Amino acid sequence: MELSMFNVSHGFTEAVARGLRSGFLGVEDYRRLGTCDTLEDMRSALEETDYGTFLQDEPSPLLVSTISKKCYEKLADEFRYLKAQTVEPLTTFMDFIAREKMIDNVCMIIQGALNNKAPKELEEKIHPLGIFEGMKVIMSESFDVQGGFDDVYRIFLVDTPIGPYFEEYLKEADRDKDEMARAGIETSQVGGILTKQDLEIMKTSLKKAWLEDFYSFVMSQGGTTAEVMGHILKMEADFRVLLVTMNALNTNLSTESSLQDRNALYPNFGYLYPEGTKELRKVFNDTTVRAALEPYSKYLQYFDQVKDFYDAESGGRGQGTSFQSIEDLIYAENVHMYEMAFEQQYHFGIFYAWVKLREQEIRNIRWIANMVVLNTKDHIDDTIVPIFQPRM
Amino acid sequence: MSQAGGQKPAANRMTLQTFKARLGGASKGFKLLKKKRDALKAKFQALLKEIVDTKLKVGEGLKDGAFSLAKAHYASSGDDIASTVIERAKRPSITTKLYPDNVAGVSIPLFKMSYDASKDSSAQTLGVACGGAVINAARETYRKAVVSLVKLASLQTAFHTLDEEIKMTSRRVNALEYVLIPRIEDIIHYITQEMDEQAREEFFRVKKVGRGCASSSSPSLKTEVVEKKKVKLQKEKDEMAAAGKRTEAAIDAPSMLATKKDEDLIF
Repeated sequence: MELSMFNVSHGFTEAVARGLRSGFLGVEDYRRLGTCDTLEDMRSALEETDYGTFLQDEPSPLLVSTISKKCYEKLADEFRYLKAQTVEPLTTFMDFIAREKMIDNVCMIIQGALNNKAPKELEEKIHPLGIFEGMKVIMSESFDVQGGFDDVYRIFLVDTPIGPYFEEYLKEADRDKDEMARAGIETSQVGGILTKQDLEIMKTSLKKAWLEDFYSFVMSQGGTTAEVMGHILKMEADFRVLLVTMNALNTNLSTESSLQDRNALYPNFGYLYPEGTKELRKVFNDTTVRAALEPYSKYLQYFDQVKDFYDAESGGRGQGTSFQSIEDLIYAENVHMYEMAFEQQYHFGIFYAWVKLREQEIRNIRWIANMVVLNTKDHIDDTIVPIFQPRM
Repeated sequence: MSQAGGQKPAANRMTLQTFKARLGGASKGFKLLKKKRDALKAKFQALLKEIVDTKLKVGEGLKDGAFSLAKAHYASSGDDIASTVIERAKRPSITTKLYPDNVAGVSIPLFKMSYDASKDSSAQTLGVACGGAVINAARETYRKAVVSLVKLASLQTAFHTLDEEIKMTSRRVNALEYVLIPRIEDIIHYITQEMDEQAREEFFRVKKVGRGCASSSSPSLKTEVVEKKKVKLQKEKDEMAAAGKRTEAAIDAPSMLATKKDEDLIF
């Protein structure tokens, strides 16, 4: 069924995506970038790749952040082009991908508003993939915190697709430790709630809600999409659990009282769910983490590899340059997973994989640029993950 | 103090004693100041060496910090953490206090750094979903760099203050050596000379007075004694001429008293 009907609606977009796949930087390109001495050299090296002359208008001296921003803008342009060609349900799927970045933008705006930053500065920092209507409205006026929050809230909850995540979060955030969540939220209370909360935790909770929503959407699609994307999203959820646990190990989120806050950040699906997460909820230091991860050999392997990085922090200070953190391992594993997604046809997974792989590429470029600036080019290879390496 | 080069002070024993005391004081002061200047200079050199070392360390520390920041950027999925960190910074967790320190009698400012880890809490939950640990690692690296920076700041302010102090002390030492002490010595010299002159004048006057009384006795002896007197006077005149003081008036006067020739000797 799928094989025959898929191309009718989505054939063109899939073809474009596969065309874009060949535009990734190859081993040669990375080597060439690695031999650059300044950012100007990098500019000319990038001109020969698919990136082309996107940096041409930037005045020198170039900054690493400029390069990164321009790469993202290119990605956003291509993404918008792709999205414009889609029909349902692929459009919603691509919207889901963009929503992650919308959450980032919204949190950033709220933070900026709390600190009374000028709208112009906020505009510089928004992520190009996460632009939505109404965002201009929020940023164009200079608003005072209390009054402005009502407008902000109204725009968020009503107009944007991330409204429901916000609503869920606000309900959770407002209840006392013992009571149940309240039924609804008054507009005027939002400002008070938002100023009290820890924005970073809010961002993570919103992303968790987004992930769960995405998963249910993907499963409802059925077929190859559900198979491929289901697997990807389950791994994503597991990684999120691992990341939150590891990063919270040395902070005050691991104390007895705050464990509940941390556990609220675990998504409610994934390979670790429900037994693994049940164990992990009780965890508060390395040994307990190890015990909880026993049944999952792959994750146990990760943990053992990166244990030193986290140990070195609480104790003395190890040589941070040679140790890998769990993020490095997760990125490498993710790239492998996304590459696999391209092997199959007739599913939406390749769009998600393409966006994520481009992001990884931008991360690689940014890392290389930083190393070039710091003149420590020998460290480049430890950290970047080459994409679509030829398999010999 | 003598401003007009020493013509003013009265040439008597008392002023001589005063100026001799001043000279003693000045030379002692000169020796002490010289010692202070040398000690300061030695400290200065040591300070310079330490500054060079600390500057190198600061360079290294900041380089490590930049590297760990790059790693943090990579780990936090490419998001721009710098702005987020700046947004969240509310209270400073590192404060410095200024203390005065004493080096060879000179008061030098010193910075003492105090780190309050509890105030760091605003950034504890940063990147809890990804990259948090790496960000904290970056923060540790930068904190170490700040420690060296504060040390460098102390050293450089000390350097500056010491430099000023050394210049001032050098100026004083030179002033003492080339202006004050020679001046006092000149004055003393002048006083001693003046006093010698006065002594000779006195001696001469007394002798003349004595000769005047003795001139009333025999004239034949008178001429002999007058001759002897004349020779003696001539000798004295030569001495005076050698000393280079005003002698002409004293020699011309005796013509009136040539008749007297009393040999009363005066000490």
